[in-house]
Amino acid sequence: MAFDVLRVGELARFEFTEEEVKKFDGHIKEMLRMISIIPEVLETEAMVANKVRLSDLREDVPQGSWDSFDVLANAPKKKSGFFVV
Amino acid sequence: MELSELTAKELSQMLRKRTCSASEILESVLQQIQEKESDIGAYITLTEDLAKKQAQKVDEKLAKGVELAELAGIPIAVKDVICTKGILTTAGSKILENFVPQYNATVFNKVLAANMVVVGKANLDEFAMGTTCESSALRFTKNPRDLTRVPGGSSGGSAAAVAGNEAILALGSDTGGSVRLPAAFCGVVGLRPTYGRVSRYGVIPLASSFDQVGPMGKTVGDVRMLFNAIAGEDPKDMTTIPNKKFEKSFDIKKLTLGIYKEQFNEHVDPEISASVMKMVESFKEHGATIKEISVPYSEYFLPLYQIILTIEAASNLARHDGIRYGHRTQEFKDVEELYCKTRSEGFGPEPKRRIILGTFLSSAEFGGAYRKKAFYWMQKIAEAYDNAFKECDLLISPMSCSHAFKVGELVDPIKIYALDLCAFGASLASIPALALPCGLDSSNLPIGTQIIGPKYSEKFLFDVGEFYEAHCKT
Repeated sequence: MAFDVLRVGELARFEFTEEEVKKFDGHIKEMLRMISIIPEVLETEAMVANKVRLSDLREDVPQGSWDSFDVLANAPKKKSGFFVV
Repeated sequence: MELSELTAKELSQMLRKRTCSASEILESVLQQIQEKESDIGAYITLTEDLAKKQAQKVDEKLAKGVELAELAGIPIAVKDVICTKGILTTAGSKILENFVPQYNATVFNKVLAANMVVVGKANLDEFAMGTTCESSALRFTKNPRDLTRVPGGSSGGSAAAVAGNEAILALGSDTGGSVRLPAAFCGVVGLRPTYGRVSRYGVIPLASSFDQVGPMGKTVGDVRMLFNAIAGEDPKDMTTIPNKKFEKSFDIKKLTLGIYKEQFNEHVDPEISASVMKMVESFKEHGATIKEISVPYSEYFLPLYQIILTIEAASNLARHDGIRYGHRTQEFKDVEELYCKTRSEGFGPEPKRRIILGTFLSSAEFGGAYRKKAFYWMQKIAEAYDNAFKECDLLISPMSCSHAFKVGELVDPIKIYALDLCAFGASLASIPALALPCGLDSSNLPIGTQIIGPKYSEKFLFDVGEFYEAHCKT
C-alpha cells in the first residue's frame, strides 16, 4: 500500500495545513525507506515470537473502582455526571 | 561547599548525624533554583510549598527518633510524564497543559513512602519523544554545563535539575535512551533498568514495550539508592517482575569487560571513543579481562525501534480526543471534527509525525505484518545479547556519538532519531544499561559511557560503576 499522508492523517484524526502535508510526507517517506531494510520473516517464525503466554496474566478479579467525581475531574466538558461528547 | 552540591548518600548520612536538617538541604536547593532556573528551565512546575512541608515533616520525625528510609529528606525532581495526584502533569504537551491527575503513579507513591522531598515536575520532550528536550511545547531547557547547548532528551529537565544542583536526585523515563542520553550530555549518572523492574503504572505511556522509569543522580551510589527505592513488582503493572537474584558477584580480578565493537564506529566522535577506551584501560590495569565483543543486527536497531515505537505511540496517544481530559477544541460541527481539531491543535509536530507513521504501519492493509516482524527481530536481538554475555560479564560502549549539541543545531528528525543509536540495543533486548560520565572533552563538555548488562544485573552494574568512580576516575 502506498503512503498517502492525507489518508493516514484522516485515520489518525488529524487535520493538516499544506505546509504540514509537505513536511510530513517527506519525513515519513524517508523513514519508510529506512524501515524497508528489515528482512521479512516467515509467518510461522513470527507467530512463535509474538505468542502471548497466558500463564503470565493475573486472575481477572474485579477490584475497587473510582468515584465518578474523580473520573470526571479533568473532563473539559461534563453534564449531570457524564462526559459531554 | 553548598549542601545542594553534595550527593544523596552524603546528605543522608549528615541527616542521620544531625549535622544538617532536611529543611536546610531543601533551602540550599531552592536557592539554586532561584539563582539558575530562569536560565536552565529544568522544571515545568515547582512544588515549593509541598517540598517545605515534606522537609519539615522529615525533620520532626528525625527529632523524635523515628527510623526513616535512607532517602528521606532528599530533594527529588520528577519527570512530568509521571502522574502525581493533585499536581499538574503535562507530558510537556499542550494537549495535557492543564491535566491534574487524580491518582499517583506507583513510582511516585514509592518516592512519597520513602519521605523524599518533591521539588517539582521536570521538563521533557513532548510525550517523551525526542533526544534534545527541544520538542517540549511548554518549556525550554538548557544544559547547565553550557547554557548554549541542549540538555539531551527526553528526560532533559531531570538531568539538568541534577547537573544544576536544582535537585539532588531525579526520576526520568527511558524508552530508547531518554534517561541515558541526557545523563551523558549533562554529566550525570542514569540507569535504564531491566524491563519490568520498575512499575509503569501511572506513567503516561509512549511505547509500552520499552518504557521504563529510570533513576538519575550525581553518582552511581545515588542512582543505586534511588533504584532500590523504586524497583519492585506491582500488581497494577502486569509486566513487572519479582527481583530475581543475579548469580555473579563483583570482583575486579574476575571481571570480563566486553568492548562493544559495533558501537565504536565512524559516527562516534574520536574524543569520545578515546575517553571510553581510557576507562577500559583503567579497568584492565586493576585486573579486569578485556575482550572485543560483537553483537549482530545493529543495522536493524534504529528501524526496528521506530516500527515498534511508532505503532505503540499511535495506539497509546489515541486516547487524547478532547472528551475525558486535556485540551478540547472550541468550535466544531460534529464529533469527527471535535476529534480532529482537538488533536491537531493539541499535539506538536513530533507526536504527529510518529502517530502518522505508527498509524500507517499498523493499518489494516498490512494485517499486523510490521509489528509481527519487528517482534520477531526483537527476540533475535535479545538472543544476540544473551550470546554476547556468555563471553563477557558486561559490555561497554560510548553513550552517544557526540557531545551536547548547540540549541537549534539539529533540525532533521532522522538525524535526531539517530542520536540514540548507542541506546536502542538495551531497549530492544529489555536489558539494563548504566550511563555514567567518563571525563570531559576539549570543549570542556561531559563525555558519557554506557555499561550494559544481562537482565537483572543492576546491582552488578552499580558495583562496577562505583568501582570506576572510586578507583579509576581521574
